[in-house]
Amino acid sequence: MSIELFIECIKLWWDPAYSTWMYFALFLPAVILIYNFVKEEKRYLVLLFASWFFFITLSGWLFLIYIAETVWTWRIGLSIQKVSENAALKRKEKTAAKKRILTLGIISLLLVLYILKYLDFTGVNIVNLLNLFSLNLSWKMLYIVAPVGISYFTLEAISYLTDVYRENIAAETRYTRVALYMGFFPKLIEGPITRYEDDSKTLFSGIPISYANLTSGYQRILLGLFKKLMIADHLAPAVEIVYEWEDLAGSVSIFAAIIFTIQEYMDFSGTIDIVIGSARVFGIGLAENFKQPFFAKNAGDFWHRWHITLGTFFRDYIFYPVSVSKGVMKFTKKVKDVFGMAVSRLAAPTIAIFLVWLANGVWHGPQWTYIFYGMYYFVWIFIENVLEKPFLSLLDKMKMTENSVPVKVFRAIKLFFIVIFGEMFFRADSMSRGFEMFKVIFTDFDMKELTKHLGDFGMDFHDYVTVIVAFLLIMILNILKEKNVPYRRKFMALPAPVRWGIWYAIMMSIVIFGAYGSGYDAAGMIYAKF
Amino acid sequence: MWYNPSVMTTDRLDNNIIKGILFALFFIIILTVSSILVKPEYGEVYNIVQVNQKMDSFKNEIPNTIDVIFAGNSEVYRTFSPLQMFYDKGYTSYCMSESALRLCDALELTRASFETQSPKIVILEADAIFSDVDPHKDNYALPTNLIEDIFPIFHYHIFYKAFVPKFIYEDSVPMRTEHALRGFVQTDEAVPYTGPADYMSQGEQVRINQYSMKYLNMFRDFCREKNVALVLTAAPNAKNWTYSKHDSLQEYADENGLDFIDLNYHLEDMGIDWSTDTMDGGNHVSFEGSKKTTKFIEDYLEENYDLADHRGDPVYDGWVKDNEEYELYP
Repeated sequence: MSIELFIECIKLWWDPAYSTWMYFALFLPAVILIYNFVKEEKRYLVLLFASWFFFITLSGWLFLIYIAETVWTWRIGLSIQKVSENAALKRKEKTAAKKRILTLGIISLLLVLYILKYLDFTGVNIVNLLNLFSLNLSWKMLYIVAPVGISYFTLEAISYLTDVYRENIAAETRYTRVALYMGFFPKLIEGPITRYEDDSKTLFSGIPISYANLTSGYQRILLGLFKKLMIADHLAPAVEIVYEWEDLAGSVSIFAAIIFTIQEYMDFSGTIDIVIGSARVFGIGLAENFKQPFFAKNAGDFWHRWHITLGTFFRDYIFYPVSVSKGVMKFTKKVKDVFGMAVSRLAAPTIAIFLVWLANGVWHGPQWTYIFYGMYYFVWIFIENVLEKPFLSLLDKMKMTENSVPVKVFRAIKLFFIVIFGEMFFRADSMSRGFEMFKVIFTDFDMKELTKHLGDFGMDFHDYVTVIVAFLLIMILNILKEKNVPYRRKFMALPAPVRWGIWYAIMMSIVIFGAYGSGYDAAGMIYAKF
Repeated sequence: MWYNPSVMTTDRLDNNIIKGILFALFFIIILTVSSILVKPEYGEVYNIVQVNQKMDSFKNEIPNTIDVIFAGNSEVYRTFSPLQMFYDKGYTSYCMSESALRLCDALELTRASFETQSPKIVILEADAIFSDVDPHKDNYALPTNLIEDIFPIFHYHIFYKAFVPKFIYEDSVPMRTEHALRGFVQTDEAVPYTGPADYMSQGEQVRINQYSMKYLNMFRDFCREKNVALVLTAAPNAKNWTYSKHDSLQEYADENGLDFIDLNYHLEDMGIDWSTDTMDGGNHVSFEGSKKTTKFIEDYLEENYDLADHRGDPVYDGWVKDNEEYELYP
């Protein structure tokens, strides 16, 4: 039986996506059941085989790329470890040898990622560049398909190898553990991008299924489903339509950027809730990826709260190493000699931040809009870094603090526009479309153009009401979290019938008002494509 | 820590298992009760929103003023224009059709139309008949269809969308247009068909499948019960219509004593020009094409049925006003 036929047969019976009922009502319970009946030390293998099943039904033969990468990462990790343990080598020799192996490992992983995701993009752009000199070249598109989650597990492989190199962790001798770390089914599609050191504390322990973990995990899954089915998937068709709207007006552009920002947040954070909840059922703690991003005080803070694990990856594996690298240190010294101490202090972080944001843009995919998005945040964060001190002294002079209401309001408005303009370009099909959308905000802003077309964006009256009510509920939850209100403890203190009533109300809200089934096209997960 | 690997006592474990079972049981009861409440009493409907919205729109018609019902999917609302038919002949009709409408829903809309109207003829367009799936089922994995059968709330969960606040649709342009054109959808798009002239020889050999046959028979029985004529028709379609489909439907029509008007056999009579008369390269006719197909079907009705000419009757003034407002005919 070919793998394609096998997948077709499987797909008659199940649909591999986190937000389908089959995931949390059939697949997850089946894994829980098998997991619970297996010996503690072998339980992680149940998770590994469940992950492979999940992967194969999603990516078919491309699963072999994941297998190859995990074997490679495992072997490279062991090679680095072997050098580390080689007592015959001097420290410098050891470091140099380890660095060579690490470089080989990282470059090969990035090369695979590059070929699978970026080859057409660079080919087309190089050809376009050369054609400026009238060479009349053309690029034959290859349309290579990458396995799901490759951008995530490649970064995890890099972090694993670097941590082994830095001797933060010992290389794992068992292949199955490295394979599970890189392919654990809940985090396979959209992350979070976790560290081996963190995952290994619980991922391989075979913690028995407990009532507390089971209920807590499923409650988190329910929250994720609420965000995805009640908000993100209702907005999905409207986002598709408004981003291709022909008679573009400023009000439609702003509306497009706002609803996409909401959709993206609810889709991504909702999926992460399902991911973290699924892992929690097995007693496995995965890193959080969101922390109320819309309550951030500025663009830098926003990225400490949005896609946190991508940010911390870049911080630990690009920002810090670049900041302290020899080249950057030399450059900083030169800057100090020419421009003085104040400017030189900004030099190293600016170079590092530039590379971080370039990597961030490129990581999102082979599109200029993503690279622009990265550079856009680089510019904002650079401006914030430069102006932070003068701004604080100005506040001081005005007898205000960062917590003064006008300052908070000013920052909230500023962040609102920074975020939505960023998302406007991020989602746009091309740079020219992004600029077109941006331009009409200032040249053709008419609210009537929006209000008269609200019924034409693929959402009806009920969809708008559902989205608004659900969004407000999630925002209230975020406010409670931000203010550290122990809402969960208070909720658990309620009498059982009240608690159960609330759970049933949430579940039935999703059943009735969720965007699924006939009348809705299934919306994919936005961050699955990165 | 939220995770708790500690060992529980047997009593505690039993207690938790009972709690879990009770929680699931109550949820099943809620799903069962809500399923009973939302399942349409009038039978098997696939897209409850399409059906309900169409019914809402149709109920705006003055009772007992519609003579002909056009049933089917998008082929219907692109091919037959009730406003033109009224303008040309004074016959009143309505396109009870929606995009990708399934046969079970077409039947339900036809049935519903008899609640306020007394049509004389039902014209069923064939495209919806040649679907290869059970019209009532989704193209889902098997367990999803199974769970929808057990708990219909999952299929009909958008039932609430039938209740639209009046202020929403009163001034809505699409609703107003839908009503004014009696379900016909007018567009200026025209993309020529450039394939072979004998397009009906293309495609696979198909027969009416068991699912469609069931609903087709229900159409037949319903029309017999109401004592109205059921006419089968096939709109010009260079992309999907084949000799095999024609033969299969002709056989059914002959066996059941029904008229079958295949417009694909009358392209020359109608003067269909594939370079201008299709809106999407042969799948649907364009507005210009619809003028020809509507003319053909109204002539057929004039020759074969004794329908009243309502022009000049003040009860039907709304039709005249709508035509004046939209300026489609002449």
